[in-house]
Amino acid sequence: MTAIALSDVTKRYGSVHALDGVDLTVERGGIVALLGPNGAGKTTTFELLLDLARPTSGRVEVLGGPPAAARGRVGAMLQSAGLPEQVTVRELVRLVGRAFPRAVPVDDVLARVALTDRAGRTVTTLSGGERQRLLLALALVGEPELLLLDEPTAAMDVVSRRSFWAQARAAVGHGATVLFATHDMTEAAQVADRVLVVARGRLLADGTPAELMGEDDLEDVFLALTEETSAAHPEGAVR
Amino acid sequence: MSTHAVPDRRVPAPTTAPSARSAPDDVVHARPTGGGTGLLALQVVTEVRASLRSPEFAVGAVVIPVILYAMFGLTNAASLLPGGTRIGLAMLLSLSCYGVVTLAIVVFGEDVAKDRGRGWLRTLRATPFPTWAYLAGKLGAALVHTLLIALTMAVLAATAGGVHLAAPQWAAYAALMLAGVVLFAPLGFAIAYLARPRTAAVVANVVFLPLAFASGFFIPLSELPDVMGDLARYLPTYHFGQLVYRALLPAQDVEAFTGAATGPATVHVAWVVGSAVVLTAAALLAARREAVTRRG
Repeated sequence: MTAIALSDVTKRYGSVHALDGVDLTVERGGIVALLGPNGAGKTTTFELLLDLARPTSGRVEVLGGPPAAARGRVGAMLQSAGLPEQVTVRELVRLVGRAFPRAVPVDDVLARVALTDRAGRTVTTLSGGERQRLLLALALVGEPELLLLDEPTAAMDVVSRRSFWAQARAAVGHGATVLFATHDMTEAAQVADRVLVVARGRLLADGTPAELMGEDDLEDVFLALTEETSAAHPEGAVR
Repeated sequence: MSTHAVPDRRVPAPTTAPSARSAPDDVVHARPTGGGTGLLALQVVTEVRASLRSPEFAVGAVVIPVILYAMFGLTNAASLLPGGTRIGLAMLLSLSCYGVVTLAIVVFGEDVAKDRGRGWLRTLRATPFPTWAYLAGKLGAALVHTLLIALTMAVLAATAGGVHLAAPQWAAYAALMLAGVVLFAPLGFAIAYLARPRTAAVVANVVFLPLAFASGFFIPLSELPDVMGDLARYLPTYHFGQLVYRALLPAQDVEAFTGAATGPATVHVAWVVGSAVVLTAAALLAARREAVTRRG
């Protein structure tokens, strides 16, 4: 069963190629890391998968159909995600959960992201890490089959990060697929079952962390791959 | 630095095979738990609660019209217009119009623009939460706040201003205020999508304050320069005010209080409803433009 399928997908913003002929298939289950430098095309990939953008050419499928049709079955944490201010954690999770065809009970979701004791707090009083966990709660509340997480742990401390990935792994245990974008090679190596390396809108490598690294450090592999691409395509940056 | 060859896992260069665009995907099949009505009701409740946690909202939207009425409406409340209407009633109507139109612009202009700017609308677009439910929830909350404004001002007018109306007239007053927020919400909605999020509050005030003055909400048009009176006839807020005055005051007192001759009700209705339709279309186009630009 395929969770994500991109077939020769190109996305251009003016003269900039954000994605350049990407072919990618992700089967259901497991955690997949999308690793790449700034401007590699990671966020664009997420926007296409969430129907926030449409490809210039190529085909995008999510859970076997067009992205818009899968919206109720996908949970997402976006890099530039925002939250309303004077709403409490509980109110927000309940409200967003109501929009999904099936929703996890609010208390269960809050417990999973360790926000039970913050349930009555308004968003403005939350720390950066707590906001990230709230965004994860919003992503989880619809019992998603696919979780799309764009740099989800950027504002988290070590404890929150571990807890976060424990929850993501638990979601996988319940049958979900996780695709997350990150700059953090250590995190990708530790968490992901599969790593996709992207740069300048192209998919450069695809494998398990062990396969990609061999006897080397993933950071060295990553730098070697992305530097090769930079040398081959010195023109223009991408999102 | 050493180089690392990973040829076995490296992805082949993209092919140039003919590509097909994504299949038509404008249908979202997700159905909210509890249905659309339940989602809308929850959105209204959440919005009302959130707004009540913002003291500046309560002050700006609810308290200011009440204070203005206490300051300017009650001072000469017992004075009579030529047709026998108490000034307290006429001021109640004009400042209620001011409060309601302010509310519509604040809620839909500033509040929606803020949500847009901070990325909340983008977050929602990645969920099955329908945009119509978000906007309808804002409108529902605005209706609740309108009732709060109308009730507070009515109680003040009746107790301190000696304003006495029959029950059907109070009901008409409340209904007109509710209609006002619905009809002027598209103006705020248009500002929310046409202005940059950070400037929406300024734009809303730049739009609204001249509207309020030129429509005679604060000062009778006869006491303003002639050009303001000429301008007023092209403003939906002026026509809304005229409809409200006409519903509860004799025509003679409407003219005396506003300094402008009243026209046929159909003209006022046409202006208010017509402008609402045009502004709704402009706002929808702006919202669509943003979505399309975003999607590429």
